[in-house]
Amino acid sequence: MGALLEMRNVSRRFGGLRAVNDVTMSIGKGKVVGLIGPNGAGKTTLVNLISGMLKLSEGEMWFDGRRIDGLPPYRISRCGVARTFQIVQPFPQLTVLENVTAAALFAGGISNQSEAEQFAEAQLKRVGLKGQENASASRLSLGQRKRLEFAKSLAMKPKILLLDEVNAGLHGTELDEAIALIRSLSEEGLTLVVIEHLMKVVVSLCDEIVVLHHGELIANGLARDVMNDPHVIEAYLGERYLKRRAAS
Amino acid sequence: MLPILSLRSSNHVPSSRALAVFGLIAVIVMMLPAVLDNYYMRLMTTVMMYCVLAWSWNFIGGFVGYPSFGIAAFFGLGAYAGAILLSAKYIPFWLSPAVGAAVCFIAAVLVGLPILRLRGHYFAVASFGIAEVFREVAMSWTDLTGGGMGINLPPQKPLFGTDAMTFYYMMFILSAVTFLATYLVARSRLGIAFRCIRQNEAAANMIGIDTTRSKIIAFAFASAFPGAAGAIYASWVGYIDATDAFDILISIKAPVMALLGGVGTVFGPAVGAVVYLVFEELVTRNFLQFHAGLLGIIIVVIILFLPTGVLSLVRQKTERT
Repeated sequence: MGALLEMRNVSRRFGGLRAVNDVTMSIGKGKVVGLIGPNGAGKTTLVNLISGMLKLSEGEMWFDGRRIDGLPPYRISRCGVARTFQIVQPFPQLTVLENVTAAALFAGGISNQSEAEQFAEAQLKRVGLKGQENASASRLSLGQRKRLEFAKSLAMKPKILLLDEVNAGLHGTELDEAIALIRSLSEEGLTLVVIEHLMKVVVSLCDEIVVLHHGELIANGLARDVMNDPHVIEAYLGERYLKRRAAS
Repeated sequence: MLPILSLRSSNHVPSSRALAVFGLIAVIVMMLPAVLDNYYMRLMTTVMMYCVLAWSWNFIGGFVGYPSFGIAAFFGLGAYAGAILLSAKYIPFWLSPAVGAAVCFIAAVLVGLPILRLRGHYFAVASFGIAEVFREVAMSWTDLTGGGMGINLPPQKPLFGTDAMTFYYMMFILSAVTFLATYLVARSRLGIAFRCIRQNEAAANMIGIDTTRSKIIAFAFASAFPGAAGAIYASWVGYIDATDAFDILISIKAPVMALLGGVGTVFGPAVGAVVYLVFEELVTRNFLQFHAGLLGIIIVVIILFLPTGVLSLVRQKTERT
Protein backbone atom coordinates (compact mmCIF):
# COMPACT_ATOMS: atom_id res chain seq x y z
CA MET A 1 0.00 0.00 0.00
CA GLY A 2 1.53 3.29 -1.09
CA ALA A 3 0.99 6.49 0.81
CA LEU A 4 -1.77 8.68 -0.55
CA LEU A 5 -1.06 11.66 1.62
CA GLU A 6 2.35 12.44 2.98
CA MET A 7 3.45 15.25 5.26
CA ARG A 8 7.09 16.02 5.73
CA ASN A 9 8.05 18.22 8.66
CA VAL A 10 4.93 20.31 8.30
CA SER A 11 4.72 23.39 10.53
CA ARG A 12 2.39 26.31 10.74
CA ARG A 13 3.03 29.33 12.93
CA PHE A 14 0.64 32.08 13.89
CA GLY A 15 3.00 34.73 15.15
CA GLY A 16 4.84 33.07 18.03
CA LEU A 17 2.39 30.20 18.31
CA ARG A 18 3.22 26.95 16.60
CA ALA A 19 -0.24 25.62 15.84
CA VAL A 20 1.25 22.68 13.98
CA ASN A 21 4.84 21.82 14.75
CA ASP A 22 7.05 19.58 12.63
CA VAL A 23 4.48 16.94 11.82
CA THR A 24 5.64 14.05 9.66
CA MET A 25 3.23 11.31 8.77
CA SER A 26 1.77 9.39 5.88
CA ILE A 27 -1.68 8.07 5.24
CA GLY A 28 -2.02 4.91 3.19
CA LYS A 29 -4.59 4.38 0.44
CA GLY A 30 -7.88 3.04 1.73
CA LYS A 31 -7.07 3.65 5.39
CA VAL A 32 -9.35 5.27 7.94
CA VAL A 33 -7.23 7.45 10.17
CA GLY A 34 -8.51 9.02 13.35
CA LEU A 35 -7.06 12.42 14.19
CA ILE A 36 -7.52 13.11 17.88
CA GLY A 37 -6.22 15.50 20.47
CA PRO A 38 -7.43 18.06 23.00
CA ASN A 39 -9.07 21.30 21.91
CA GLY A 40 -6.49 23.62 20.38
CA ALA A 41 -4.13 20.77 19.54
CA GLY A 42 -4.02 21.86 15.88
CA LYS A 43 -6.33 19.29 14.31
CA THR A 44 -8.39 21.75 12.30
CA THR A 45 -5.26 23.71 11.42
CA LEU A 46 -3.80 20.51 9.99
CA VAL A 47 -6.93 19.97 7.88
CA ASN A 48 -6.72 23.59 6.73
CA LEU A 49 -3.11 23.02 5.71
CA ILE A 50 -3.97 19.90 3.75
CA SER A 51 -6.90 21.54 1.95
CA GLY A 52 -4.86 24.65 1.17
CA MET A 53 -6.91 27.13 3.15
CA LEU A 54 -3.77 27.87 5.13
CA LYS A 55 -0.25 27.98 3.77
CA LEU A 56 2.49 25.93 5.35
CA SER A 57 5.16 27.82 7.26
CA GLU A 58 7.58 24.95 6.74
CA GLY A 59 7.61 21.48 5.29
CA GLU A 60 6.10 19.69 2.34
CA MET A 61 2.74 18.16 1.59
CA TRP A 62 2.44 15.41 -1.03
CA PHE A 63 -0.77 13.95 -2.34
CA ASP A 64 -1.04 11.09 -4.80
CA GLY A 65 2.51 11.61 -5.99
CA ARG A 66 2.39 15.34 -6.41
CA ARG A 67 3.36 18.19 -4.21
CA ILE A 68 0.30 20.18 -3.17
CA ASP A 69 1.56 22.69 -0.64
CA GLY A 70 1.32 26.17 -2.11
CA LEU A 71 -1.47 25.23 -4.51
CA PRO A 72 -4.70 27.23 -4.15
CA PRO A 73 -7.58 25.34 -2.46
CA TYR A 74 -9.56 24.90 -5.68
CA ARG A 75 -6.63 23.07 -7.31
CA ILE A 76 -6.15 20.83 -4.30
CA SER A 77 -9.84 19.95 -4.24
CA ARG A 78 -9.70 19.10 -7.94
CA CYS A 79 -6.82 16.72 -7.17
CA GLY A 80 -9.24 14.74 -5.01
CA VAL A 81 -9.01 16.21 -1.53
CA ALA A 82 -12.42 16.93 -0.03
CA ARG A 83 -13.16 18.21 3.43
CA THR A 84 -16.10 19.02 5.58
CA PHE A 85 -16.14 22.00 7.86
CA GLN A 86 -16.51 21.80 11.59
CA ILE A 87 -18.87 24.74 11.30
CA VAL A 88 -20.97 23.80 8.30
CA GLN A 89 -20.68 26.09 5.30
CA PRO A 90 -23.48 25.56 2.82
CA PHE A 91 -24.39 28.13 0.18
CA PRO A 92 -27.49 29.36 2.04
CA GLN A 93 -29.43 30.78 -0.89
CA LEU A 94 -28.97 27.75 -3.10
CA THR A 95 -31.17 24.71 -2.78
CA VAL A 96 -29.81 21.52 -1.31
CA LEU A 97 -29.54 20.01 -4.77
CA GLU A 98 -27.80 23.08 -6.18
CA ASN A 99 -25.28 23.00 -3.35
CA VAL A 100 -24.27 19.46 -4.19
CA THR A 101 -24.49 19.99 -7.96
CA ALA A 102 -22.02 22.86 -7.68
CA ALA A 103 -19.53 20.57 -5.97
CA ALA A 104 -19.98 17.92 -8.68
CA LEU A 105 -19.63 20.55 -11.44
CA PHE A 106 -16.37 22.01 -10.24
CA ALA A 107 -14.31 19.66 -8.11
CA GLY A 108 -16.16 16.56 -9.32
CA GLY A 109 -15.23 17.37 -12.90
CA ILE A 110 -18.69 16.68 -14.36
CA SER A 111 -19.05 19.63 -16.69
CA ASN A 112 -22.49 18.70 -18.00
CA GLN A 113 -25.07 20.34 -15.75
CA SER A 114 -27.78 17.70 -15.94
CA GLU A 115 -25.27 14.89 -15.40
CA ALA A 116 -23.89 16.76 -12.41
CA GLU A 117 -27.42 17.10 -11.08
CA GLN A 118 -28.04 13.37 -11.40
CA PHE A 119 -24.81 12.59 -9.66
CA ALA A 120 -25.72 15.06 -6.92
CA GLU A 121 -29.10 13.41 -6.47
CA ALA A 122 -27.40 10.07 -5.96
CA GLN A 123 -25.17 11.56 -3.26
CA LEU A 124 -28.14 13.12 -1.49
CA LYS A 125 -29.89 9.79 -1.49
CA ARG A 126 -26.81 8.21 -0.07
CA VAL A 127 -26.57 10.57 2.90
CA GLY A 128 -30.29 10.40 3.55
CA LEU A 129 -31.37 13.80 2.27
CA LYS A 130 -33.67 12.50 -0.42
CA GLY A 131 -36.82 14.57 -0.55
CA GLN A 132 -34.99 17.71 0.58
CA GLU A 133 -33.51 18.48 -2.84
CA ASN A 134 -35.47 21.68 -3.39
CA ALA A 135 -35.36 23.01 0.13
CA SER A 136 -33.23 26.05 0.69
CA ALA A 137 -29.98 25.06 2.40
CA SER A 138 -30.56 27.69 5.06
CA ARG A 139 -33.69 25.90 6.23
CA LEU A 140 -32.02 22.62 7.14
CA SER A 141 -31.52 21.49 10.71
CA LEU A 142 -27.98 21.09 12.00
CA GLY A 143 -28.04 17.34 11.46
CA GLN A 144 -29.25 17.83 7.91
CA ARG A 145 -26.60 20.45 7.25
CA LYS A 146 -23.93 18.04 8.36
CA ARG A 147 -25.29 15.53 5.88
CA LEU A 148 -25.35 18.19 3.21
CA GLU A 149 -21.66 18.86 3.89
CA PHE A 150 -21.13 15.16 3.50
CA ALA A 151 -23.02 15.00 0.20
CA LYS A 152 -21.09 18.00 -1.12
CA SER A 153 -17.79 16.32 -0.31
CA LEU A 154 -18.87 13.07 -1.94
CA ALA A 155 -19.98 14.93 -5.07
CA MET A 156 -16.41 16.13 -5.41
CA LYS A 157 -15.39 12.54 -6.18
CA PRO A 158 -12.60 12.65 -3.61
CA LYS A 159 -9.70 10.27 -3.20
CA ILE A 160 -9.41 11.36 0.39
CA LEU A 161 -12.10 12.79 2.60
CA LEU A 162 -11.25 14.88 5.63
CA LEU A 163 -14.11 14.86 8.10
CA ASP A 164 -13.74 17.65 10.62
CA GLU A 165 -16.04 16.74 13.49
CA VAL A 166 -18.76 15.75 11.13
CA ASN A 167 -20.50 13.96 13.98
CA ALA A 168 -20.37 16.76 16.55
CA GLY A 169 -23.84 17.79 17.62
CA LEU A 170 -25.45 14.64 16.29
CA HIS A 171 -27.41 12.40 18.61
CA GLY A 172 -28.62 8.80 18.81
CA THR A 173 -29.83 7.53 15.47
CA GLU A 174 -28.24 10.38 13.54
CA LEU A 175 -24.89 9.40 14.94
CA ASP A 176 -25.37 5.73 14.14
CA GLU A 177 -26.37 6.58 10.57
CA ALA A 178 -23.35 8.80 10.15
CA ILE A 179 -21.04 6.08 11.41
CA ALA A 180 -22.64 3.54 9.08
CA LEU A 181 -22.14 5.92 6.19
CA ILE A 182 -18.48 6.49 7.00
CA ARG A 183 -17.96 2.75 7.28
CA SER A 184 -19.59 2.06 3.93
CA LEU A 185 -17.40 4.68 2.27
CA SER A 186 -14.34 3.07 3.75
CA GLU A 187 -15.48 -0.32 2.49
CA GLU A 188 -15.59 1.17 -1.00
CA GLY A 189 -11.92 2.00 -0.64
CA LEU A 190 -12.13 5.72 0.09
CA THR A 191 -9.35 7.04 2.30
CA LEU A 192 -10.69 8.91 5.30
CA VAL A 193 -9.29 11.19 7.97
CA VAL A 194 -11.71 11.53 10.84
CA ILE A 195 -11.41 14.24 13.44
CA GLU A 196 -13.52 13.11 16.31
CA HIS A 197 -13.92 13.56 20.03
CA LEU A 198 -16.09 10.53 20.69
CA MET A 199 -13.56 7.79 21.36
CA LYS A 200 -16.23 5.17 20.82
CA VAL A 201 -16.56 6.35 17.23
CA VAL A 202 -12.81 6.56 16.71
CA VAL A 203 -12.17 3.07 18.01
CA SER A 204 -14.96 1.51 16.01
CA LEU A 205 -14.03 3.18 12.72
CA CYS A 206 -10.33 3.76 12.51
CA ASP A 207 -7.46 1.54 11.45
CA GLU A 208 -4.90 4.02 12.67
CA ILE A 209 -4.87 6.89 15.08
CA VAL A 210 -2.82 10.06 15.05
CA VAL A 211 -2.67 12.11 18.23
CA LEU A 212 -1.82 15.80 18.22
CA HIS A 213 -0.95 17.73 21.34
CA HIS A 214 0.15 21.38 21.32
CA GLY A 215 0.63 21.08 17.58
CA GLU A 216 2.97 18.14 17.87
CA LEU A 217 2.42 14.61 16.83
CA ILE A 218 2.76 12.57 20.01
CA ALA A 219 1.55 9.21 18.77
CA ASN A 220 0.84 7.60 15.44
CA GLY A 221 0.07 3.98 14.79
CA LEU A 222 -2.45 1.19 14.97
CA ALA A 223 -5.53 2.10 16.95
CA ARG A 224 -4.95 -0.50 19.66
CA ASP A 225 -1.34 0.55 20.29
CA VAL A 226 -2.08 4.24 20.39
CA MET A 227 -4.91 3.81 22.86
CA ASN A 228 -2.54 2.14 25.30
CA ASP A 229 0.25 4.64 24.85
CA PRO A 230 0.91 6.30 28.24
CA HIS A 231 1.65 9.68 26.59
CA VAL A 232 -1.70 9.65 24.89
CA ILE A 233 -3.50 8.73 28.07
CA GLU A 234 -1.78 11.52 29.93
CA ALA A 235 -2.31 14.17 27.27
CA TYR A 236 -5.77 13.39 26.06
CA LEU A 237 -7.63 10.33 27.19
CA GLY A 238 -7.01 10.80 30.90
CA GLU A 239 -6.91 8.28 33.71
CA ARG A 240 -10.64 8.22 33.97
CA TYR A 241 -10.99 6.84 30.47
CA LEU A 242 -8.54 4.11 31.36
CA LYS A 243 -10.46 3.15 34.48
CA ARG A 244 -13.79 3.18 32.69
CA ARG A 245 -12.39 0.94 30.00
CA ALA A 246 -10.90 -1.42 32.57
CA ALA A 247 -14.22 -1.58 34.36
CA SER A 248 -16.26 -2.39 31.28
CA MET B 1 -42.42 21.23 -3.15
CA LEU B 2 -42.75 22.50 -6.69
CA PRO B 3 -43.50 26.17 -5.93
CA ILE B 4 -40.27 26.36 -3.93
CA LEU B 5 -38.39 25.05 -6.93
CA SER B 6 -39.86 27.55 -9.35
CA LEU B 7 -39.47 30.43 -6.92
CA ARG B 8 -35.86 29.64 -6.29
CA SER B 9 -34.89 28.86 -9.83
CA SER B 10 -36.69 31.92 -11.15
CA ASN B 11 -34.05 33.87 -9.28
CA HIS B 12 -31.41 32.34 -11.48
CA VAL B 13 -32.88 31.53 -14.84
CA PRO B 14 -36.05 33.21 -16.09
CA SER B 15 -39.07 31.15 -17.09
CA SER B 16 -39.92 30.79 -20.75
CA ARG B 17 -43.00 32.93 -20.18
CA ALA B 18 -40.90 35.75 -18.78
CA LEU B 19 -38.57 35.41 -21.75
CA ALA B 20 -41.50 35.62 -24.16
CA VAL B 21 -42.80 38.81 -22.52
CA PHE B 22 -39.33 40.26 -22.64
CA GLY B 23 -38.93 39.31 -26.30
CA LEU B 24 -42.22 40.99 -27.12
CA ILE B 25 -41.08 44.18 -25.37
CA ALA B 26 -37.84 44.02 -27.36
CA VAL B 27 -39.75 43.75 -30.65
CA ILE B 28 -41.92 46.74 -29.70
CA VAL B 29 -38.84 48.74 -28.74
CA MET B 30 -37.32 47.84 -32.09
CA MET B 31 -40.33 49.24 -33.97
CA LEU B 32 -40.80 52.33 -31.81
CA PRO B 33 -38.63 54.75 -33.83
CA ALA B 34 -41.38 54.79 -36.47
CA VAL B 35 -43.66 56.66 -34.08
CA LEU B 36 -41.39 58.46 -31.59
CA ASP B 37 -40.51 62.14 -31.72
CA ASN B 38 -37.00 63.39 -30.98
CA TYR B 39 -37.52 63.79 -27.25
CA TYR B 40 -38.72 60.21 -26.80
CA MET B 41 -36.06 58.88 -29.14
CA ARG B 42 -33.45 60.45 -26.90
CA LEU B 43 -35.19 59.18 -23.78
CA MET B 44 -35.40 55.62 -25.10
CA THR B 45 -31.76 55.67 -26.16
CA THR B 46 -30.88 56.76 -22.65
CA VAL B 47 -33.08 54.02 -21.14
CA MET B 48 -31.24 51.41 -23.19
CA MET B 49 -27.88 52.85 -22.19
CA TYR B 50 -28.92 52.69 -18.53
CA CYS B 51 -30.03 49.09 -19.04
CA VAL B 52 -26.56 48.28 -20.33
CA LEU B 53 -24.94 49.94 -17.32
CA ALA B 54 -27.25 48.25 -14.80
CA TRP B 55 -26.84 44.83 -16.40
CA SER B 56 -23.09 45.33 -16.48
CA TRP B 57 -22.93 46.22 -12.81
CA ASN B 58 -25.07 43.17 -12.10
CA PHE B 59 -22.28 40.83 -13.26
CA ILE B 60 -19.88 41.88 -10.52
CA GLY B 61 -22.20 43.51 -7.99
CA GLY B 62 -25.22 41.25 -8.39
CA PHE B 63 -24.04 37.79 -9.37
CA VAL B 64 -20.67 37.82 -7.60
CA GLY B 65 -21.62 40.24 -4.82
CA TYR B 66 -18.67 42.58 -5.18
CA PRO B 67 -20.12 46.10 -4.88
CA SER B 68 -18.30 47.97 -7.63
CA PHE B 69 -18.37 51.76 -7.86
CA GLY B 70 -16.13 51.69 -10.88
CA ILE B 71 -18.58 51.58 -13.78
CA ALA B 72 -17.78 55.22 -14.63
CA ALA B 73 -14.10 54.32 -15.02
CA PHE B 74 -14.87 52.01 -17.90
CA PHE B 75 -17.69 54.06 -19.37
CA GLY B 76 -15.22 56.93 -19.55
CA LEU B 77 -12.38 54.79 -20.82
CA GLY B 78 -14.61 53.43 -23.60
CA ALA B 79 -15.78 56.93 -24.45
CA TYR B 80 -12.20 58.18 -24.70
CA ALA B 81 -11.02 55.12 -26.65
CA GLY B 82 -13.82 55.64 -29.15
CA ALA B 83 -13.33 59.41 -29.32
CA ILE B 84 -9.56 59.27 -29.79
CA LEU B 85 -9.61 56.52 -32.41
CA LEU B 86 -12.55 57.99 -34.32
CA SER B 87 -11.11 61.49 -34.47
CA ALA B 88 -7.79 60.05 -35.66
CA LYS B 89 -9.79 58.01 -38.19
CA TYR B 90 -8.09 54.78 -37.12
CA ILE B 91 -11.31 52.81 -36.98
CA PRO B 92 -14.65 52.93 -38.75
CA PHE B 93 -17.62 54.26 -36.78
CA TRP B 94 -19.48 50.96 -36.56
CA LEU B 95 -16.47 49.30 -34.97
CA SER B 96 -16.07 51.86 -32.18
CA PRO B 97 -18.30 50.10 -29.59
CA ALA B 98 -16.41 46.84 -30.07
CA VAL B 99 -13.09 48.64 -29.70
CA GLY B 100 -14.34 50.43 -26.57
CA ALA B 101 -15.42 47.08 -25.16
CA ALA B 102 -12.10 45.40 -25.99
CA VAL B 103 -10.02 48.18 -24.45
CA CYS B 104 -12.11 48.07 -21.27
CA PHE B 105 -12.04 44.28 -21.11
CA ILE B 106 -8.23 44.29 -21.11
CA ALA B 107 -8.03 47.23 -18.69
CA ALA B 108 -10.47 45.49 -16.34
CA VAL B 109 -8.39 42.32 -16.27
CA LEU B 110 -5.27 44.35 -15.40
CA VAL B 111 -7.04 46.46 -12.78
CA GLY B 112 -9.08 43.53 -11.45
CA LEU B 113 -6.05 41.40 -10.63
CA PRO B 114 -5.03 43.61 -7.71
CA ILE B 115 -8.35 45.09 -6.55
CA LEU B 116 -10.39 41.88 -6.62
CA ARG B 117 -8.24 40.66 -3.75
CA LEU B 118 -10.15 43.16 -1.63
CA ARG B 119 -13.59 42.40 -0.34
CA GLY B 120 -16.70 44.29 0.70
CA HIS B 121 -16.19 47.95 1.55
CA TYR B 122 -12.52 47.81 0.66
CA PHE B 123 -13.33 46.67 -2.87
CA ALA B 124 -16.01 49.35 -3.18
CA VAL B 125 -13.57 52.10 -2.21
CA ALA B 126 -10.85 50.76 -4.51
CA SER B 127 -13.20 50.54 -7.49
CA PHE B 128 -14.31 54.09 -6.76
CA GLY B 129 -10.67 55.14 -6.77
CA ILE B 130 -10.09 53.61 -10.21
CA ALA B 131 -12.61 55.99 -11.77
CA GLU B 132 -10.93 58.96 -10.10
CA VAL B 133 -7.49 57.84 -11.30
CA PHE B 134 -8.75 57.43 -14.87
CA ARG B 135 -10.36 60.86 -14.74
CA GLU B 136 -7.14 62.46 -13.49
CA VAL B 137 -5.18 60.76 -16.25
CA ALA B 138 -7.66 61.96 -18.88
CA MET B 139 -7.41 65.48 -17.46
CA SER B 140 -3.61 65.60 -17.49
CA TRP B 141 -2.65 63.64 -20.59
CA THR B 142 -3.35 66.64 -22.79
CA ASP B 143 -1.56 65.35 -25.90
CA LEU B 144 -3.84 62.36 -26.16
CA THR B 145 -7.10 63.50 -24.56
CA GLY B 146 -7.11 67.23 -25.05
CA GLY B 147 -6.99 67.65 -21.27
CA GLY B 148 -9.55 70.15 -20.00
CA MET B 149 -10.50 71.02 -23.59
CA GLY B 150 -12.02 67.59 -24.18
CA ILE B 151 -12.48 66.02 -27.57
CA ASN B 152 -14.80 67.00 -30.40
CA LEU B 153 -15.83 63.98 -32.37
CA PRO B 154 -16.17 64.11 -36.14
CA PRO B 155 -19.75 63.69 -37.37
CA GLN B 156 -20.42 60.21 -38.71
CA LYS B 157 -22.49 58.99 -41.59
CA PRO B 158 -25.65 57.46 -40.06
CA LEU B 159 -25.73 53.66 -40.05
CA PHE B 160 -29.53 53.45 -39.80
CA GLY B 161 -31.56 56.23 -41.45
CA THR B 162 -31.05 59.30 -39.31
CA ASP B 163 -28.55 60.17 -36.59
CA ALA B 164 -31.14 59.62 -33.89
CA MET B 165 -32.06 56.23 -35.29
CA THR B 166 -28.41 55.25 -35.59
CA PHE B 167 -27.72 55.79 -31.90
CA TYR B 168 -31.06 54.29 -30.96
CA TYR B 169 -30.28 51.06 -32.77
CA MET B 170 -26.67 50.98 -31.65
CA MET B 171 -27.82 51.13 -28.03
CA PHE B 172 -30.54 48.62 -28.85
CA ILE B 173 -28.05 46.11 -30.24
CA LEU B 174 -25.67 46.71 -27.34
CA SER B 175 -28.40 46.19 -24.74
CA ALA B 176 -29.52 43.03 -26.55
CA VAL B 177 -25.95 41.71 -26.44
CA THR B 178 -25.61 42.64 -22.76
CA PHE B 179 -28.90 40.92 -21.97
CA LEU B 180 -27.84 37.83 -23.89
CA ALA B 181 -24.56 37.69 -21.98
CA THR B 182 -26.45 38.07 -18.69
CA TYR B 183 -28.89 35.34 -19.59
CA LEU B 184 -26.23 32.92 -20.79
CA VAL B 185 -24.03 33.52 -17.76
CA ALA B 186 -26.98 33.09 -15.37
CA ARG B 187 -27.72 29.62 -16.68
CA SER B 188 -24.14 28.51 -17.19
CA ARG B 189 -21.55 26.83 -15.00
CA LEU B 190 -19.89 30.23 -14.66
CA GLY B 191 -23.13 31.66 -13.24
CA ILE B 192 -23.20 28.96 -10.60
CA ALA B 193 -19.60 29.77 -9.72
CA PHE B 194 -20.57 33.46 -9.38
CA ARG B 195 -23.44 32.69 -7.03
CA CYS B 196 -21.32 30.38 -4.91
CA ILE B 197 -18.66 33.07 -4.54
CA ARG B 198 -21.29 35.62 -3.50
CA GLN B 199 -22.57 33.36 -0.76
CA ASN B 200 -19.32 31.99 0.60
CA GLU B 201 -16.08 32.61 -1.19
CA ALA B 202 -13.94 30.27 0.92
CA ALA B 203 -16.40 27.41 0.52
CA ALA B 204 -16.58 28.10 -3.22
CA ASN B 205 -12.82 27.72 -3.46
CA MET B 206 -13.07 24.52 -1.46
CA ILE B 207 -15.43 22.87 -3.95
CA GLY B 208 -13.06 23.49 -6.82
CA ILE B 209 -14.10 26.92 -8.08
CA ASP B 210 -11.24 29.08 -9.33
CA THR B 211 -12.53 32.15 -7.51
CA THR B 212 -9.87 34.57 -8.76
CA ARG B 213 -10.49 33.71 -12.39
CA SER B 214 -14.28 33.84 -11.97
CA LYS B 215 -14.15 37.24 -10.31
CA ILE B 216 -11.91 38.63 -13.04
CA ILE B 217 -14.26 37.38 -15.76
CA ALA B 218 -17.21 39.00 -13.97
CA PHE B 219 -15.32 42.26 -13.56
CA ALA B 220 -14.24 42.21 -17.22
CA PHE B 221 -17.87 41.70 -18.33
CA ALA B 222 -18.96 44.46 -15.97
CA SER B 223 -16.43 46.74 -17.67
CA ALA B 224 -16.55 45.76 -21.34
CA PHE B 225 -20.24 46.61 -21.87
CA PRO B 226 -19.99 50.07 -20.26
CA GLY B 227 -16.92 50.58 -22.46
CA ALA B 228 -19.02 49.93 -25.55
CA ALA B 229 -21.78 52.18 -24.20
CA GLY B 230 -19.22 54.91 -23.57
CA ALA B 231 -17.93 54.68 -27.15
CA ILE B 232 -21.46 55.04 -28.53
CA TYR B 233 -22.21 57.83 -26.09
CA ALA B 234 -19.13 59.78 -27.23
CA SER B 235 -20.32 59.81 -30.86
CA TRP B 236 -23.89 60.44 -29.79
CA VAL B 237 -23.17 63.64 -27.82
CA GLY B 238 -20.32 64.61 -30.19
CA TYR B 239 -18.11 66.07 -27.45
CA ILE B 240 -16.63 64.55 -24.31
CA ASP B 241 -14.50 65.83 -21.49
CA ALA B 242 -13.19 64.11 -18.38
CA THR B 243 -15.81 65.36 -15.91
CA ASP B 244 -18.63 64.20 -18.17
CA ALA B 245 -17.17 60.86 -19.28
CA PHE B 246 -16.01 59.79 -15.81
CA ASP B 247 -19.04 61.26 -14.03
CA ILE B 248 -19.32 59.70 -10.58
CA LEU B 249 -23.10 59.62 -10.98
CA ILE B 250 -22.70 56.86 -13.58
CA SER B 251 -20.98 54.69 -10.96
CA ILE B 252 -23.80 55.34 -8.54
CA LYS B 253 -26.75 55.10 -10.93
CA ALA B 254 -25.75 51.61 -12.13
CA PRO B 255 -26.02 49.90 -8.71
CA VAL B 256 -29.04 52.01 -7.75
CA MET B 257 -30.90 50.84 -10.86
CA ALA B 258 -29.93 47.22 -10.22
CA LEU B 259 -31.10 47.54 -6.60
CA LEU B 260 -34.39 49.08 -7.71
CA GLY B 261 -35.15 46.25 -10.10
CA GLY B 262 -33.63 43.26 -8.35
CA VAL B 263 -29.97 42.54 -7.70
CA GLY B 264 -28.52 39.36 -9.17
CA THR B 265 -31.54 38.63 -11.36
CA VAL B 266 -31.65 38.54 -15.15
CA PHE B 267 -34.42 41.11 -15.75
CA GLY B 268 -34.11 43.16 -12.57
CA PRO B 269 -31.46 45.60 -13.76
CA ALA B 270 -33.46 46.51 -16.89
CA VAL B 271 -36.65 46.97 -14.89
CA GLY B 272 -34.70 49.14 -12.46
CA ALA B 273 -33.26 51.22 -15.30
CA VAL B 274 -36.74 51.95 -16.65
CA VAL B 275 -38.16 52.73 -13.20
CA TYR B 276 -35.23 54.99 -12.44
CA LEU B 277 -35.45 56.95 -15.66
CA VAL B 278 -39.22 57.34 -15.43
CA PHE B 279 -38.88 58.79 -11.94
CA GLU B 280 -35.95 60.94 -12.98
CA GLU B 281 -37.90 62.46 -15.87
CA LEU B 282 -41.13 62.91 -13.92
CA VAL B 283 -39.44 64.45 -10.92
CA THR B 284 -37.17 66.71 -12.93
CA ARG B 285 -40.07 68.05 -14.96
CA ASN B 286 -42.44 68.61 -12.07
CA PHE B 287 -40.18 69.55 -9.19
CA LEU B 288 -37.40 71.56 -10.73
CA GLN B 289 -36.30 73.10 -7.42
CA PHE B 290 -35.86 69.90 -5.45
CA HIS B 291 -35.62 67.19 -8.09
CA ALA B 292 -32.41 65.47 -6.98
CA GLY B 293 -33.53 65.44 -3.36
CA LEU B 294 -36.95 64.07 -4.19
CA LEU B 295 -35.50 61.40 -6.47
CA GLY B 296 -33.20 60.38 -3.65
CA ILE B 297 -36.12 60.07 -1.25
CA ILE B 298 -38.08 57.95 -3.74
CA ILE B 299 -35.12 55.62 -4.21
CA VAL B 300 -34.62 55.23 -0.47
CA VAL B 301 -38.32 54.48 0.04
CA ILE B 302 -38.41 51.87 -2.75
CA ILE B 303 -35.30 50.09 -1.51
CA LEU B 304 -36.55 50.24 2.08
CA PHE B 305 -39.88 48.63 1.27
CA LEU B 306 -38.80 46.43 -1.63
CA PRO B 307 -35.30 45.32 -0.71
CA THR B 308 -35.34 42.61 -3.36
CA GLY B 309 -36.41 45.07 -6.04
CA VAL B 310 -39.50 46.05 -7.99
CA LEU B 311 -39.30 42.80 -9.93
CA SER B 312 -40.12 40.87 -6.75
CA LEU B 313 -43.67 42.34 -6.90
CA VAL B 314 -44.24 40.76 -10.29
CA ARG B 315 -42.71 37.50 -9.20
CA GLN B 316 -44.82 37.23 -6.05
CA LYS B 317 -47.92 37.85 -8.10
CA THR B 318 -47.15 35.21 -10.71
CA GLU B 319 -46.14 32.73 -8.00
CA ARG B 320 -49.55 33.08 -6.40
CA THR B 321 -51.61 32.54 -9.55
